This record gives sequence, C-alpha cells and structure tokens, in this order.
Amino acid sequence: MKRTYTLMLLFCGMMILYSCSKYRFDQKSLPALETEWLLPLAKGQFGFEDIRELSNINSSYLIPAMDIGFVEGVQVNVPALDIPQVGPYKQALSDWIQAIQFDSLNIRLGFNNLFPIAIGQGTAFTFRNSADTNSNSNIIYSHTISQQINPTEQYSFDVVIGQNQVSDTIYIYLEHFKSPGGTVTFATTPCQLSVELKVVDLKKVSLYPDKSLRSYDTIDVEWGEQEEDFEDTLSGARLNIYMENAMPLNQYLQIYFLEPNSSFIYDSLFTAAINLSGCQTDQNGTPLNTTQSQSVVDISLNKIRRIRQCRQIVLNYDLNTLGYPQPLIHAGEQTFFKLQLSGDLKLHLKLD
Amino acid sequence: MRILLTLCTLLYGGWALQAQTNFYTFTDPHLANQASANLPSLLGDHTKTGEFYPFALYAGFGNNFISAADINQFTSADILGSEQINEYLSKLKASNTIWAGYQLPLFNFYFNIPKKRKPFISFGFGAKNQTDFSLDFNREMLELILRGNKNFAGQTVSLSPSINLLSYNELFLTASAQFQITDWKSKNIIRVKPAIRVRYLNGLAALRMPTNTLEMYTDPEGKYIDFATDMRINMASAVDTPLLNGAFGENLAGSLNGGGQGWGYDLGVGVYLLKNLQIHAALNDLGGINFDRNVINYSKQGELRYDGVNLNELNNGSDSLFQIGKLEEILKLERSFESFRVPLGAKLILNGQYGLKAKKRRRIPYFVHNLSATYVQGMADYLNTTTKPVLHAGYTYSFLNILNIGTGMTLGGLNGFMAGAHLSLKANFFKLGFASNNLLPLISDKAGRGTDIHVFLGFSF
Repeated sequence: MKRTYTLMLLFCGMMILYSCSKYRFDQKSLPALETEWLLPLAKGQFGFEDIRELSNINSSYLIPAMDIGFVEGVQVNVPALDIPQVGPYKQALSDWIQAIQFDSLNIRLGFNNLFPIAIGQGTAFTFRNSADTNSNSNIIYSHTISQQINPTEQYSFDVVIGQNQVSDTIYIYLEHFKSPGGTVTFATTPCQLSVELKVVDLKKVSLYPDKSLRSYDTIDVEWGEQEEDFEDTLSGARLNIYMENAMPLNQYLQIYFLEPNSSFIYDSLFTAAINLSGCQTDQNGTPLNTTQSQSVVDISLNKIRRIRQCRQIVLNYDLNTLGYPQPLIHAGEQTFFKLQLSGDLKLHLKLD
Repeated sequence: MRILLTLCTLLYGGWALQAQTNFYTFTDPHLANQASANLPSLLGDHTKTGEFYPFALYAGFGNNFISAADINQFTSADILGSEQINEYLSKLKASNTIWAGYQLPLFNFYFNIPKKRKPFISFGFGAKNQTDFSLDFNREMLELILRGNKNFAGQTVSLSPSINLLSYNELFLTASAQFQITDWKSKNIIRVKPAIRVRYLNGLAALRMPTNTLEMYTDPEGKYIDFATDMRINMASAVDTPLLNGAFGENLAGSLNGGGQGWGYDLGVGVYLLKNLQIHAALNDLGGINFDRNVINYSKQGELRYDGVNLNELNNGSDSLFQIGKLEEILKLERSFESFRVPLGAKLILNGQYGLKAKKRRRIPYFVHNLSATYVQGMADYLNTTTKPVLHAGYTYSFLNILNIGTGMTLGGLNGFMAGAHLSLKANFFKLGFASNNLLPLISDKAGRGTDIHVFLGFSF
C-alpha cells in the first residue's frame, strides 16, 4: 500500500512539473493588432451666412467737428444743440451684393466721443436704406441713446434685428443730435464710429455675376500626441470627401501645409484641388439643382509624418460667380453647401 | 455506459455547453451531504448519525473561447495579422463566456433522525458565501475589437455584451424524509425521498444587465455610424456603490450590512428503485435577492447617430479643429437609484446512481463500484447556469468505504470537454478530500480553458 501511495505521489509531482512547463508564456512583449476602421470624421453644412467675406461687414468712420458745424483749434461758444441729422456715413455692403433680405441681422456699434462737448440723451444712431431722412420707410434700425455721452466717454450697443432688407449701401446718421453746448475748443481729433453688420439668418441675397473672391485662412493646429505614440497608431489612411453644392457659387478648395520654421508651403492635402460648380437658382433663390462631388485622398505614412510636422495649415478657397447670366443671381435660405469627411484608417495598435 | 458515452459523443458537436456544477460530489458517496447543495434528496445518505464540515471550498473559472495554447500563440507573435486573427475568430462561438466563481461554506451540519434504525428524516443547516461572475459577448464584438469596423460596413452588428456578478451570504436549512411506496417486507421496495432546502440570502454585491441590446450600423461609405441601444445595468454593493465616473463613498465602515435580502429555494426528490439504483431530480436556485441599499442603475435607450465632428461648431479664429466633437453624448448613461431584483440561476438537475458489489462497514452499507450520470438543464444564460444542457458521467471505487477514488467526464460546460478525478478519505471521525472536475489542463495547454477545485475537511459521527 505504501508503495502505491509513493508511486501516486511521484506521478502527481511529475504531472505538476510537466504542466508548469506548458504554461510558461512568452513575456517579451504583447503583439500588435492591425485594424481597419471606417469612421465619420467631420461634417458641416454651410450657407451664405458662413461666408464671412460676404455676410460680415466692418466699417469705421471719423466724425470731425465740421460735421456738426464747428471749426477745430479755436475756442467757440457752443449753444445748446439739436441738429436734425449728422451724416450720412455710407457703408457699402460688398461689390458682390445688390440687396439682402434677412430674417435677422446683427448690428454692433461703437462710438467714442472725442468732442469736448457732451452728446445728450435723445440722440439716435439711425441706419437707413437710402439717404432720404424725411421718410421712416427706409429705416433699417434706429437706436436712441438714453443717457448723456460725456466727452472722452465710449458708447456701444449690440442688437439683432428682425426681418428687413438692405440695399447695396447703408446710410448711417446721428439724428436729433443733442448737446448742452459750452465754451470749448474742438481738437483736431474727430469722434470715432465703428459699425459691424452680420447677417445671422438670410432670407435672400441678390448677387452680381462675374465676381470672384479668393481667400487664404491660416489655422493653427495642435496634433496633441507624441510622435512615437502616433507612429504606433496610424499606419495609413484614406480620406473620403463628399460634397454637395446647392449655392449659386463656384467653389475651389485646397489645403496647404506650412513648413514649421519657414512657413513655406511644403505639401498640400489634395493632389488636384477641388473644383465644384455652383447650382442654378430661380428668382426666389431656391436651388433648381445641386452639384455633387466626391474626392478620395490616399495618405501614406510618409505623408502623415510630413503633415504632423506642420503647425499651421492654410485653407485656400475661391468663390466666384463667373459664367452666371446677367443681371443678378439669387440665393435664398434653402441654399447650402454640405461637406462630409470619412476616414478609412489603418490602425496599428500595440497591446503593451 | 458505452452506449451512453457514444450517444454523448455524437451529440457533442451540436452543443455549446456551459454550466458550473460540482459534479463529482454526486459520484462519491462520502460527499452525499455536500452533494445535497445541488441534489437535496441526497441529504442524509451514507451518513451514520451526522456530519460537520468546518471547511469546504469550491472554486473554479473557465471560458469557452480561448485556451492557454491560444494565449501562448498570440504572445509569441510580433504582429497579429489578419490571417492569424481570422484563424482565431473562426474558432469563436456565437456566444462567448467567461465564468469565475467560488462557494465557501462557513460551516455545514447534517444529521439523521432514524425510524426503526433506518434513516427517516434528515436535517441540515449551515452558512456559506458564494460569488459568481460571468461575462458574455458575441463573436462580432471581439471581431470589432480585433479587426475594426470596416469589415462590418453596410451591416447591422449586434454587440450585446453582458456582465453579471452576484455575491451573497446564505443561511440555509434543509430537510428530507423517506417514504416507502411498497411494503417494507416486499422484495421490491421503492423509497421516495422528497427534500427541500430553504436559504436566507444576504446580498453583498450585484451587477446585472437585464437588457443588453447594443447594435451598430456602419454606413458603407463611412459617413455615419448608427447605434441602437437598450441597455440597463443594475449595480449594488455592501459598501457604497462607486459611481462609474466617481469614487467610493465615504461611509465605508457604516454600510457593510449587505445591499439586499432575499430567499432561495431548492426542491428535490429521490427515488430508490433498487438497493443499488437510485434516481434524483432537483429544481435548484429558485428565488432571488432584492437589492435596495447602495443601488445605482444605469440605462440607455434609443438610437444615436455619430457622423463626425460638426464643423458648424468650429469657432471663427484659431480654434483647433481637432479639439471639437466628442462621443461623450453617445456614451452618456442615464442614472437612477431604484431597487432591483436579482434572480438566482435556476436549473434542473437529473441524476442516476448505480452501485455494484454491495458491502457494509460499521453498519453503513456501501458499494465498491459507484457509477453516476448527471444531466443539468439551466433556465437562463446567466451567472453559473445556462439554457444549454450538460452531461456528466462519473465512477468511484471505494476501498473499504475509507478511501474513495474516482474519475469523471463532462461534456459541455465552458471548458467544452472536461475530465477530472477525486479522492476522499474517511478515517474514524475525519473526512477530507480533494477533487477537480477538470484536470486536462495538466496534460495539454490546448485544454487549458479553465478548471475547478474542491477541498474539504469534515467530521463524521
């Protein structure tokens, strides 16, 4: 019996030693995975409101003492004032635009009173569609100041106004210009008026044909990861770019990568830039058709490495109305430009 | 037996079985009282007056999708290319499961009340701690992780991972009584032995996913990915349940009272057809635990579409394009704190035992050769049970009813095919033993999908 037990123990011991030899895993490193992901990367739908060059207008004006009837550099006795209109100060929208109908328009105004006299309450900043000040029908917006603006004081307002329309030029007046007056000397420095208009919600815009606009936007980029981490992750990519143009604007797009030190262009995203024809619209600005396009960009690991070195990219786009019939092109609220980017990414994932 | 095994082998190809039951206790007569945890009608069998077990541990783990040999193969490769991944994925089953669990009885006491010197009523009581964890995921989910989603472009993929955890303490009381259907003096005595086991359950921790629908659709051109979710996660623990995005609560020591209470029931009946032939049936793990303390529920229902960073949100100026657009909204879960119920993993167990070469030692009859066959059918795919059947066959040789040694074979389970061995010693008052239902990993790492172990020390009187 003892012999049997001894043999059994010996057998068990040998089995344990044998099994231990089976379970020695190679611990040098864990393997990497080669995975392929088809992912939506970015999307966007843009309208006229997003074209800053056309929908955003900034202007500034100087208002000298002469505009309110006084000379500079000599002491004058200014009586109490109530001038019906000071101005107009004209703001041309754009040489592209004949007229805009909007659902909402953002007006920002800043005024720096560098006159030696106060500007009294009741004075109004009025935006008109024409120079005619006898009619109220051409008023886009009128803002009456509720408190006196003392010399060297600044005044501003920011307002969004509802449905209206503007023609190619806006006329800005200071109406009912009031002042308590005083014995003062007007300096040679005029008052400063700055105005920013932004179409927030477009109803319809009428554009002139044969116009062109080329823009270069420089954007800072932060890639975020360490180089070696990235090398372990992305081993190749294919970008699919889907575009649909329902705006009466021909579009051109290229993205350039700048060399980190010299800021010279040393690579571009697209081998051939994207050229997308504009659509046709009716008199109401409704698109009659859309233009669709798809671009495929294969990005090798070497290209990715080069791109990752850059710290700035240049977004170069060109908008034009070349080839459209005279006299006007209409773009309504239903016009859009749609962009969708998807990536076919080959990822090299280390399990360590 | 040969016919039975042949039948099992033929059927095996169609099964993807899983169940974690300590089968060998059904085969070894020394362990009849311990086996009554699964087959209540075995209570009191092969027992002179009573038994007391101050220590007994059953623990195991297993999975049905990766072996130690596979892990070895993966870790020795530098790069897992598509060929190796395809080879591995082809081995996967539709549903892949990891299970780990243990049962730790704190004490068990069993005794018989005889009638006319024959066992009539048997009782038992005790306490134990039990924990089970299971993780289920389908083939597509692992394929998505290993290969990416390009392979699923244009398809709706059901990912549906399911994680379940249940840990509880129980106090149990069990009883059985024997009745004869025919006359005692008749040659064909048939004894019927109904049994019941009632368990008071004190839940320590639970993690349950009653619904786990997660579907993903990748547009063929990659323009968008749609997610359809109907997920609910119930969580509770004895200490403050940690938030998924937070830390443990401060009231650690003051909240160790258990997260919930409940009752569990096991019902069984044994029929002793002949002196050496008996069959048993049990309906186990009925009932459940209501968790109402330290509860957190997470849920997500609905459909979501991710179509990339929204460039319309890009501010004018120098904002980096790549800082915008997060998937947080898609992954955000709704949180609530209502109580929930966790059912036990109910299962049906059928067992037949056959003895050869009857002997008697110290007034206790025993058989030298003991054969058993067991069939387990779970009522749900959950924790340590499954809706798919498991079949076990075992043999025990008894040396004078002192030393019992035997072996057993299981078809199914997480490990696919298991073969184990057991040894128990009953010397005077002492009882001790050691067993495993799966010793194949000792022989081959290809069989290394999991194993279990049972050790115990007890006293018999």
